[in-house]
Amino acid sequence: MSVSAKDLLEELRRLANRMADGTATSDDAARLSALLRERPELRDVYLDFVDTHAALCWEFRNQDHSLDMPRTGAVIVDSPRSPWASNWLPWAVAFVAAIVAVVTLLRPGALPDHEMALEVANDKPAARESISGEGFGQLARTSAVRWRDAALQIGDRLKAGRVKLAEGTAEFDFDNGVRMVLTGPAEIELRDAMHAWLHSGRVVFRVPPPATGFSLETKEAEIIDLGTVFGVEAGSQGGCLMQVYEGEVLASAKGEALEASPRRVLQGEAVRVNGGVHTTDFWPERFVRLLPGPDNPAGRGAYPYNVSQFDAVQIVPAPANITVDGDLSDWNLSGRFRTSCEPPYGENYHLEAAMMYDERQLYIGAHVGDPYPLRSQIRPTEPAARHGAGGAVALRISTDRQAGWPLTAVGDGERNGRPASPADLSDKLSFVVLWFCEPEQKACIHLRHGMDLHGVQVNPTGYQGVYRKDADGRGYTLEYTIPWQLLNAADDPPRAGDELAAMWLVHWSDPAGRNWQGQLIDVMKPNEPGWNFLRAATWGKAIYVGNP
Amino acid sequence: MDASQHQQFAERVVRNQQRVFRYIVSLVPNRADADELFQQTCLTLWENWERYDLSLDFVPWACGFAHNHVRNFYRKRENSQVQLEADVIEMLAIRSSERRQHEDDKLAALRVCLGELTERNRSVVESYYSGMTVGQLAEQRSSSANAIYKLLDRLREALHDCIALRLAGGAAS
Repeated sequence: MSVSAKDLLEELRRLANRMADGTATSDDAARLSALLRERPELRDVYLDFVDTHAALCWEFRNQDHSLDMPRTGAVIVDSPRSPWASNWLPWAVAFVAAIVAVVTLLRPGALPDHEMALEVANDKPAARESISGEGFGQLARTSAVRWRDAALQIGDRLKAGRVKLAEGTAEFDFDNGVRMVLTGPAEIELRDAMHAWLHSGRVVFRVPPPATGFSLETKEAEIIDLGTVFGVEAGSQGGCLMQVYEGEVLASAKGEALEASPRRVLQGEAVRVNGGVHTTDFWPERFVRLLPGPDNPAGRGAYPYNVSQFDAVQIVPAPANITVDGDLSDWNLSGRFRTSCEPPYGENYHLEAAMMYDERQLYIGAHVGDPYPLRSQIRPTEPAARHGAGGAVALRISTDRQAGWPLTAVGDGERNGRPASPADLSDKLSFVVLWFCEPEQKACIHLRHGMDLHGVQVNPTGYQGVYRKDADGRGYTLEYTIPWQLLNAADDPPRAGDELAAMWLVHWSDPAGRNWQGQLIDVMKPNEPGWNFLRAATWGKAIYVGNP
Repeated sequence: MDASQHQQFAERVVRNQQRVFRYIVSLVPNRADADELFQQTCLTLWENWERYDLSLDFVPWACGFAHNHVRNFYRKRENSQVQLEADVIEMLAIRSSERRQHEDDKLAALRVCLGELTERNRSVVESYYSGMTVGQLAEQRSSSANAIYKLLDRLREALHDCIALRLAGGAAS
């Protein structure tokens, strides 16, 4: 290579780096344009180099939830659920002026005195004193909490000041209808019923219309509610993370030029605020909203809202002539187990499950405690990753008699670049999602296989499923039969004495039947680290019991 | 398009989304802007899924939508952002959509190459590409922003060379 060519390549890399860093000047851009225009051979070199930057962007794009499945993220898969998608952009652009006006008005001291929202939201000391003196809410519920400094008790009145939660989840009800769910470790400063400052940790606010205008600040962000449910995480690397479950909020980055901020963030969107407001992936499970328990944004499903109670499930022989009708009275229920979410939710969110088998098929029966039963609006035509979002029961089942238990298969995120092994891609490891599609009044099923979840089948021929809602509307019973063929085990189905792998999951939804609200996972291998989507070693044992 | 075709479409989206994302970054290297455009493209894809012919190659079809978003993006920011000149962006767009080599292998090679960095350097790369600003990195490491920029540039080049070496070796074997 000639010296001049080498110099040229070095210059190209320098300019490409500046483009990637965002430090390029107008002169840099002009020079790079000239190089690429005049020297076609450099275009591939430039694109190659920028593609390394692109690959890095992609690789760490989902870093906050690097255990999520699939590795490629689910922005696309989640998109169809957003009814605003078709007109969001022009709508947002059209409302920029209005947004700026609203935020300007909502800034402390900017609203006229006769506005109710202002009287509570502004920072006038007199207003705050009045509220803090009387208290403006109370501690409603807790789960596994440990407080720092002052310990709070259920029913304690909430006054202006700092709440420090070392661990667990605490739910506060404000007198104006605002509900706050704080997940420790967290520290939040409550200024009054309409204004809070999150120093660290995670919090979810549910703000009813009368309290619209509620504002939350962090070191990096100002967030103003416009009638919504939103979650915020502060104090971690990379700035403040905020996502909107319902309604909309305005988010602005502190120190950012006014014309670039605030940004309207809508239901189903998440942003990271760090010098600017940047879109990031929305994950429903990122925050604890209704159900208590340890949660972790780094691992979707890694920390369910229950503590697994069972490490094995007994799959018993099916009696002859089972009728699939949503009534399990003709079942052999000797292998059933019951598990529930953490108190105080266990009363309403629970699972009683049973499994049977014969030479033709697997039988799955369950009664699920669910305050909003059989409301899923998710149609089978929606992307597979959405199928459980409106409420569902899911199972992981191995029919691999050679692999036995525990399994060693891992997903892409656990392989550190190593190629997948045949065990990782085994057709005999199945992910089964069962849900009742309310609009179609249909018992649905989808099956995927291997740790890469390949071979999606939705409502394939051969399965049977029936749902029956409880008379009191507080739960439902499901009954399914799944031929071994659909589990890729027709050639060698499980038989008495086998110890294979299985796991049960329940997903609960919101009243609208579209958004994930909480989950339960049971039948897990004790003390096995990792997430069931990535490490099959976490799956519990499925013991195929023989006839006595 | 029936349910099964919709399913196939969904699978193609999931399988190819990183290609679409990388196509966007090749034209809009700024991470936040590229993210935004990617999300817009995804929404457009889902809005148009019924128009997709399953017999067609998905990536060029999807990149066509991405290209439109990129074009609109630059048009709107013509006077407010440092950017390549319009004709050059079009040249790159054409060339980028023609190039499909090593797309999957590159990510695998990148992961291996990241593993060859020292822990400290890998942490810098990871923090930066996970959303940390150069200013925050500088503060965290008691360094200057300029030094962090230089370090990132060097690491990006080292990773690029490492990937190229691995892909060349893979092709030869």
